[in-house]
Amino acid sequence: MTSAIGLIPILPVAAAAVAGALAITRKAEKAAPLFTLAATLAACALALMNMPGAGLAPHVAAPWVNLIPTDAALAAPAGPTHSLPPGLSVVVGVTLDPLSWIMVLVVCSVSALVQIYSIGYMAAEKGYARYYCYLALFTASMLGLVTADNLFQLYVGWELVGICSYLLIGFWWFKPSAANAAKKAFVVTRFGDVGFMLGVLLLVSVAQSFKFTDVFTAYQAVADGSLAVHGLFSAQTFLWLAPLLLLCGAIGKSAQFPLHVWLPDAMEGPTPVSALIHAATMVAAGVYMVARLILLFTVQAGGGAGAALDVVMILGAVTALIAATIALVQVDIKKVMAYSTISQLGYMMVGLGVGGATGQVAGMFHLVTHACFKALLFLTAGSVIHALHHAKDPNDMRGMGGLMRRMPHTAITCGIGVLALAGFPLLSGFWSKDAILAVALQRAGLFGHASGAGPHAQVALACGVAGLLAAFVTAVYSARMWLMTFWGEPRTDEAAHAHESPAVMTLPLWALAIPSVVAGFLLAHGERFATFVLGGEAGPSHENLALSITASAIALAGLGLGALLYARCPAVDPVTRLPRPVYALFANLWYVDAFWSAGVARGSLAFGRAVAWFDRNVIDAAMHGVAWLVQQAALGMRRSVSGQAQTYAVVLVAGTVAVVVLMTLYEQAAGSPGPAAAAAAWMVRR
Amino acid sequence: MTVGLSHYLILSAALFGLGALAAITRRNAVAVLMGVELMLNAANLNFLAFWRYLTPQGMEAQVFVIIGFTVAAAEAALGLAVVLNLYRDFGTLNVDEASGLKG
Repeated sequence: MTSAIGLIPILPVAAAAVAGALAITRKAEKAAPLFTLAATLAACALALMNMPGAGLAPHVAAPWVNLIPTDAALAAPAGPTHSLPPGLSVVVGVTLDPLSWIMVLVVCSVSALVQIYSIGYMAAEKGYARYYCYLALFTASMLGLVTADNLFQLYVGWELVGICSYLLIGFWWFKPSAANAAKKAFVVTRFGDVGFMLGVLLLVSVAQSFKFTDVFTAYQAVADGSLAVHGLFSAQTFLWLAPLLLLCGAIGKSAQFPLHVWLPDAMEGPTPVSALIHAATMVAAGVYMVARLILLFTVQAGGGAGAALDVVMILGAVTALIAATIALVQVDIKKVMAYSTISQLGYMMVGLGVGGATGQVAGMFHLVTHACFKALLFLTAGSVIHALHHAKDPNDMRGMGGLMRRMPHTAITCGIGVLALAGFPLLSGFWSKDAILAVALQRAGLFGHASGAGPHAQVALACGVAGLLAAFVTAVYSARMWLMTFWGEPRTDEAAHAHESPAVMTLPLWALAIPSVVAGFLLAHGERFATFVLGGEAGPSHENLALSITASAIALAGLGLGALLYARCPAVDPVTRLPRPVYALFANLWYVDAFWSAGVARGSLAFGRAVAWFDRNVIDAAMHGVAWLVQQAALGMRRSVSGQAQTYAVVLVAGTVAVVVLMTLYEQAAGSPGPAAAAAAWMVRR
Repeated sequence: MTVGLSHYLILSAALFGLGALAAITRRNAVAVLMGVELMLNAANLNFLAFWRYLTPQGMEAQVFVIIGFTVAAAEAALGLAVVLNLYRDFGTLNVDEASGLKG
């Protein structure tokens, strides 16, 4: 059965084709989910049947698919070494090592639940089959991305999920806000993707291969000094530049500061899409990529600290803290969750920033638990929005309240998600967040494992403390969100008359609520997750009672503060009572969006206008000037064309006479026989 | 005084000059054509004078002169046809009126 794992990304493509055909022909649109769901579940089953064991990872390769021909005629020219070598072949391969396997399960299960949920959520929408076609295409792209065993496939999957994200954000393309959000998401992630592509090319030019294993070997060899880097960069530059370029891609895709601005806008898409793509899977692709290539970030660090790891960690911590504070003041329920997602992705980056297997395990652990509880939270938000879809702004939490009694399933599952997000003791978020904070703070030399030394340890300390702070803010806004939505009395008629969503929507909620509660404990217990990811050689446990108690206390304090402020449903939102400059900072999204629109967007517009002015007033003017000169000359010469044949004859005769006279004068002046005299002399000689 | 090459050349130059003057200055299209005929005949005279005094053994000059006659005849026929049409279109033979190619 091992060879069948090649079908994992292919099955959803086939389902997408069927759904696409249904969408185009507009026949039996309601049948589309059958195909896509079957394909997703089949892919999931294939993965379950091929679970990687200790030191054994199912892997198939298709060596006959050579994407770059070996033909000598197409050989790359000699010279610069930063070019792809002739005969470099991309062996398309599907691998299911523990990291990929975990991602395949997360993607398939969340995708399947979202598809079931969407049967209810999208029932009244036009373009039902088109929606499922995109969903299946996304699932296929994401599976292709996570099962790739080489950089080429990873990059292809990376771009494909970007396209699917664009298509799904703009699913309601007739809404200008959705169309703009889709474009924004695509363009902003492109900023990072350029860096990612350069990083891939740089690595491949040195490693002469796309395969992850070859790239790791080559990178290690460069670090050891046994492999020289020729061309544009020195070995030292290559070592820090390559991981940083890759990180650019992760910053764009995983919505890290300062490229996080696209994710909140992406909430224009249907809510189940937000749950699948913009919470659980695609935005985690950047985290997955860094985890997959963590060796590149760590090797350089060696015993000390690596610049790339510092950057990963600092960006993660800044993102986690900034996004959490923004989530605190949002009133749109989906925006709260979007910023919460950004914040949690930042956590994952902090974990990865510790480096090595330790960081990899911590980051991936949080990725998995976050996928459960954040998908759950988004789906509950979708359930609420679905119930309030008659309201003027169904996303506005100020128009909710009191939904607890009307939507008990949604309220309880959302409560579970909120507690998991806030890190309530023993729920899944608690364990994974704890793992990240533990590895970061232990890197800094706190809470046992005295490994803290050097600048990287200081960065880890700062980021760990920032993580604790963000955990507090997270707990506060989680409580705020739940209480504003479900507690107290309805604030609008729509909220007063809301009904619970159908079973097809509430069942997926429960299906996600269960792992949100137990996944953390099950995976963290006995280092099960670490053992699995590392292939049976888990390092020392990072669990630390003192830290767990600290983190729990912080989470409970945050939840308590939130409950204290919001349980009585105050008419004025307490966050608006924050000191003016602080509230302005949070409400204005830390001016990051303003920076992009004022600094970058306006800047490029101004630059474009300057170029247009130069084009019009210098380049075009030069052309017009030449044309004007020619025209004026022609108008002047036109006067000589009198139309009088006799005038021409006069000029002809006068010209002939003038030529003869001039020739004669020339002969006399030169004292030598010119042509006229020579002709006369010849005639006389005869 | 013997008549030499120079006399012929002077005569033909004078004839050419008169022809050119007529072609340039006369307003009547027929007179212009006549001027052109004079110029052609001056050239013919030149050919024969040079032949007689410089290359009496060759035949080229006579061939040229015969070609010149032919051209003159054709030119006269064509020219008169143009003049006829000119008169039909403009109702006059004044060449100043025929300035349709003015730029």
